[in-house]
Amino acid sequence: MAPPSAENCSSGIKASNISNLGSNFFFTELADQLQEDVSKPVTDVADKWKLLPHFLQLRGLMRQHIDSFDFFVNREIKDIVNAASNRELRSEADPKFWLRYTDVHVGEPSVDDDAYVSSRVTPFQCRLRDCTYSAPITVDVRYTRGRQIVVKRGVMIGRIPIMLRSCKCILAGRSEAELAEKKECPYDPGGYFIVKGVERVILMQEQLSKNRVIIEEDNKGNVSASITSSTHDRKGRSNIFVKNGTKVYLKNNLLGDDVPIVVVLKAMGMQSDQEIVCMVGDSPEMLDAFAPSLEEPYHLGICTQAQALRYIGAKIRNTTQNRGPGPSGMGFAFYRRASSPEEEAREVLASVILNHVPVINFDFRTKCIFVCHVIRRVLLTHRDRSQLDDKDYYGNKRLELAGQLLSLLFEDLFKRLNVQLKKQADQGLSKPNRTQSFDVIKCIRTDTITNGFIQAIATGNWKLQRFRMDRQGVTQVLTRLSYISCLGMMTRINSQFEKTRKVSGPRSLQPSQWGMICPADTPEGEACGLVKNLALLAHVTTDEESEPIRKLCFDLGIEDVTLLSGAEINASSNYLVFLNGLIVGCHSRPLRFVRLLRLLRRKGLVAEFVSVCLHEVQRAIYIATDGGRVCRPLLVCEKGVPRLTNMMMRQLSSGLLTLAELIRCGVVEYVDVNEENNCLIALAQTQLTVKHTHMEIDPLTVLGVVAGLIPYPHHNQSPRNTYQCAMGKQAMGTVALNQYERLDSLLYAMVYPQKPLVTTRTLDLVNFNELPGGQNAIVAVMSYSGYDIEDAVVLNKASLDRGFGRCLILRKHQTSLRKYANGAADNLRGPPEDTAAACSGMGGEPSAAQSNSAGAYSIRRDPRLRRFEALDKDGICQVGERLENGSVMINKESPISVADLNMGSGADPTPFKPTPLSYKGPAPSHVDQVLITSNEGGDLLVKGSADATAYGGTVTGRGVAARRNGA
Amino acid sequence: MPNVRAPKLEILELKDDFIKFILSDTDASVANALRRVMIAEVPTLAIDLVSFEVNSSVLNDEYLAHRLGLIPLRSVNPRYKKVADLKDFRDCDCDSHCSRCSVELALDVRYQTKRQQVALVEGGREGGMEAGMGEGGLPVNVTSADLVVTPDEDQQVWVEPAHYSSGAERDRLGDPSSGGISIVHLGPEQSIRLTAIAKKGIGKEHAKWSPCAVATYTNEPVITLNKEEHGKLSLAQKKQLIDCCPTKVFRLDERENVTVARPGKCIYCQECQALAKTLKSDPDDDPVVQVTANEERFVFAVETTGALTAGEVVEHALEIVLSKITEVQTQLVHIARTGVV
Ligand code: SF4
Ligand SMILES: [Zn+2]
Repeated sequence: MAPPSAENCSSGIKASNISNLGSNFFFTELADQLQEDVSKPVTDVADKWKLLPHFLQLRGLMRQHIDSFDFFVNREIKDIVNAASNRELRSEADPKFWLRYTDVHVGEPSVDDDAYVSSRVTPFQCRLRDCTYSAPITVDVRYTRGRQIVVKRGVMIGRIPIMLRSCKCILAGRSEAELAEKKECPYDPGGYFIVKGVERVILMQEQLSKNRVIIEEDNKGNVSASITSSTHDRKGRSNIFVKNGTKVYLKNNLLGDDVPIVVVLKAMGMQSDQEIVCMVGDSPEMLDAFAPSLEEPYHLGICTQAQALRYIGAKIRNTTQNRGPGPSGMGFAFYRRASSPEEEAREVLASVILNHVPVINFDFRTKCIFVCHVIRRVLLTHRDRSQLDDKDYYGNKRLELAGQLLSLLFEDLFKRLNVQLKKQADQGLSKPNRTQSFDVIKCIRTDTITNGFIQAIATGNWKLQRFRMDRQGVTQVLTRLSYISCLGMMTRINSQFEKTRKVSGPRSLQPSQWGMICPADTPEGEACGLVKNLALLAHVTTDEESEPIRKLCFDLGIEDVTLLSGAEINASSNYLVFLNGLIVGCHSRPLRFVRLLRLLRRKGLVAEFVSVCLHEVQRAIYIATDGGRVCRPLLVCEKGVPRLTNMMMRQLSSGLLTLAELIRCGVVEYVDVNEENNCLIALAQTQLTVKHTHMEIDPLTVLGVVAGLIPYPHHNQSPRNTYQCAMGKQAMGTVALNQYERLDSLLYAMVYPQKPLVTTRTLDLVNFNELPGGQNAIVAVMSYSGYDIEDAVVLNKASLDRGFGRCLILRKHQTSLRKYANGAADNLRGPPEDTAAACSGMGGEPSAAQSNSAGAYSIRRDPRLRRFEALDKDGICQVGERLENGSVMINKESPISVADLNMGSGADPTPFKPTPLSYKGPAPSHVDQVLITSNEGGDLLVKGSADATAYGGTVTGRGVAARRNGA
Repeated sequence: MPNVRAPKLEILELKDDFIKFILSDTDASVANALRRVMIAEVPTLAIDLVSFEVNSSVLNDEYLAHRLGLIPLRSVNPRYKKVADLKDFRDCDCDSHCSRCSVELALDVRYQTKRQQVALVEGGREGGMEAGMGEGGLPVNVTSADLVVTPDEDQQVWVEPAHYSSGAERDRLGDPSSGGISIVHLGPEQSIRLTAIAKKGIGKEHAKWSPCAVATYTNEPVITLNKEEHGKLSLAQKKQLIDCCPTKVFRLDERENVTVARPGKCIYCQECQALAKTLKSDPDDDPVVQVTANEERFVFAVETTGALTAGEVVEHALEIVLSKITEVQTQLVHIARTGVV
């Protein structure tokens, strides 16, 4: 990587470019421009890296998380509730009863004070009070009550944790002053959740893309096309593969056996061999390869569709699992169970196998063409293994973000809620004589959804049987060791591969990850290469409506595939066009089509994240609008000249233009991994030739946030950068501007953090200067014997005395005073009074002047009572008191029996046992803060933080993470 | 007697907070002893014990106490009382501290009052700025100027915080009512009340008691120009030689000869010698310039924190070195006389 060059190029502007600039610029400036630059022939964009801050302003550092969450709460949640299988609830007990969801909303973040009152809440309050920052989900419903039809709006069905800084968060779009008022750090990136007072991040999960054909070699060495189909109704996986090198079969979990593929085609109505051969390909080589498969049905005695269906129907596994848990109807039935095996087979073929290819009214034409295309590719690859897909290629990967994971979870919980409701309705309606007409709404139990969300996020276990999903460690506690560790965590990508796998493929750096994934930032050891980090400007897309694109494709001259014959589809002059993995049609002028579609995107007529990729080997055009693709912005070049001009840069910096406008007018565009294959991208302006289509914004954007902190990374041996990425996160410094108020369980705060003397551009972008970590040390490197221990530093004592490396360690200790079922509750008790003092009459008046010294006076006599010294009268330690090992911080006592309900209510004094919270630690420390508050359950919560000052060098177990300056 | 030398001291520069002198006719051992004593053993006064009554500032007690400790304190009138006159608190027969071994200071700052003061000063300076500034919520800076020293038993305030290390610095930065050493910023509704006990100590124990910010020595450089080789140089080469020195030690005189104009500025960077090697017409020639260190002459540069003047530091340090030697001498005499080790 080249050093970020400070090219001070000419600020020229080509006269012809002026017309592109729109009308809003200063004419004086224009005049200046013309005068100073007429002689300069070509525009040279100086300091194009200055675009970076605008990108971060537009998207924010953690935009991918927030975007995906926004998408979920605004769009996807509605799709789920409106999905055919969820929308309506009926009861078996009463055919007239129904409940229909008409709409769903996510409200404002609030917290339930008790069963009836809920109040608005800030994230900061949630952190302190160990609450969950969540908002109610309400639905609009129409249902029958007795004979009436009732319409109700705003029925709460549960609470959903709200992502900080998302559109539903109260912090969204607030100014710095407003944030400060809410005690929030303005530099906090957001994108995480607060569940029971703990900040948790839903890590990005890397997966193979859905609904795409991936041709791979299975473990027997057969060429196999694996297709993971995923729709809102069903997620499944099918394989079409060459068995033993001869015949092609279809494998699906639902079918007990592998089924010959031609039988499948016949079952879908393609009875004529001629037609099949045409579809698959009629070149002699193709025929040879396909002939054994084609003969197969005749050995089985299958010629007609009915025969084929019967054959498949017999193979369908007869398990209830297919119908989903719970009673039918509201359960997750994948298909309607039909009377005969033929019908059942037809159902399965239509809606289970390759279910992402839509079959409407049993018109299997599209699916047949799709299957034939897959067979063709499998056979071609069988002959020429170089056409195998690379699983590790990043274009085949999708990142699953918080929004997607939450939407799966919500779908599951919502279905569970409906099953519950149905059960209740069945019960309620089947009662023979009801005094009141049954009202379902009263049966809604909100904690199904509320607790479901809290459980999943708090533990990180996504266990959704319905979707055969069982994942651990989806969420992690946001590490607040330093500001950078927090940022680094938000860009982390977890891979689904098991860590024990010794394979190197998924671990190694893929060229296709350039600019998308940070090449340096990965942990060492078992997770090496599996846990990755997003590059600085990488963006993860969210789902986009594909229907408009489909229509547009036809407008651009695509021929509908269902109207074409096999010969036409496979003609060498035609390119197949795929939209999100589905065949849309054919086009005979692919280059023109691709160019037009891109042009429309640059004109802003097509969504900015739609990718168009021309695959010459497969003779196909792939259009993608789905979510989870990684993409990055690039400068568009035409005829070797970037469309970005210095004038635009100036207008950007003076605020006359925004980056969004630049994207809209096609100066900058987002390109995903697949589309990058069609691009020729120049690193710098000096390298631009006529062939180049794009130019990098700046080479520094290949690195991620954490690696971006390293000065002169290109002068380092590569693993050093990786080590620094791990260490930079541990650097002690400032966590957040509100660090002393946050009451984290452990806070390492540097007393005198410094801005780094050597900075990188990334540092300025991530506000590292405002929340620095570490100090600038002046280091003498000695090469002579004496102190030359490897990896050690001799520190100057006077510097330590003066505050070098000094840090504060604040540790939180907390306890809650619980109320028990039998009415008893935990108690706080003041320090025990000295027995001797009590006898001499002093015990009578420890009231008025029991301040700091007087209170301690009576206690200090008895050495046994020394551990109570820090306590105030109320049994909670006083701010500023010294704590030693064993000192009591909160003198709590709990009732001995908590289960006995027969206990006289206050009649006889409940026996208590002491359950104090004591300080443990080798070194004494002081009480810094005490907070008394209540949590969601209404229990009183006492938190305190104690601090100890550590001097640099005496802090053990923490090396000095040196951010070396190169050279 | 041969080889007997008497160390000499010549002062090159003397300011309140800075001294530059040459110690000559002695060895590195003596020079280093002097340097180390100046840094670590000249006693000064510094805040050592702080008891907080109120602290609602953003910094916690430990943090503030540390900052207070680093504020240099000095004697107002060394003829009345010097820091050296104080007893060591460990030797004093009082319980914890008394006026013989310590000085008490107090800090009591409230945002409101301080804000009004500042507004007054600013208003006065800028010709009556709006008086509403007090409620503006701008933070105020608590500085060493807010420290109040408690008088001793003779009702004399003989110690003051050294707001500036020298008069020159004060003239440059303005009077201590608005300047001084920053302790903490206070926001609205915040206040600090504390008493601090300053005790005598030495830098060996904690750097806050060190009177020196910097105390260094270097051997005086000896730069010799080889006349013969110099003659062989072209004018361009001479210019090259002059330009290579980062501290401009050399100069071209009117007869276009290189002269060593400011030998004292040399930092032993070896640039000139490296260049001299390339300027040789014959590898066996002597280099045109040679930089060596005079091992008998030490150029000292001492900068103080303001707790003592630079002169005092050197003076005290020499006294201390002397007393250490005298101590050894008396013990030796004692042993010689009694025969008891
Ligand atoms: S050693 Fe360096 S500083 Fe000294 S005279 Fe030579 S060039 Fe100048
Ligand atoms: Zn005393």
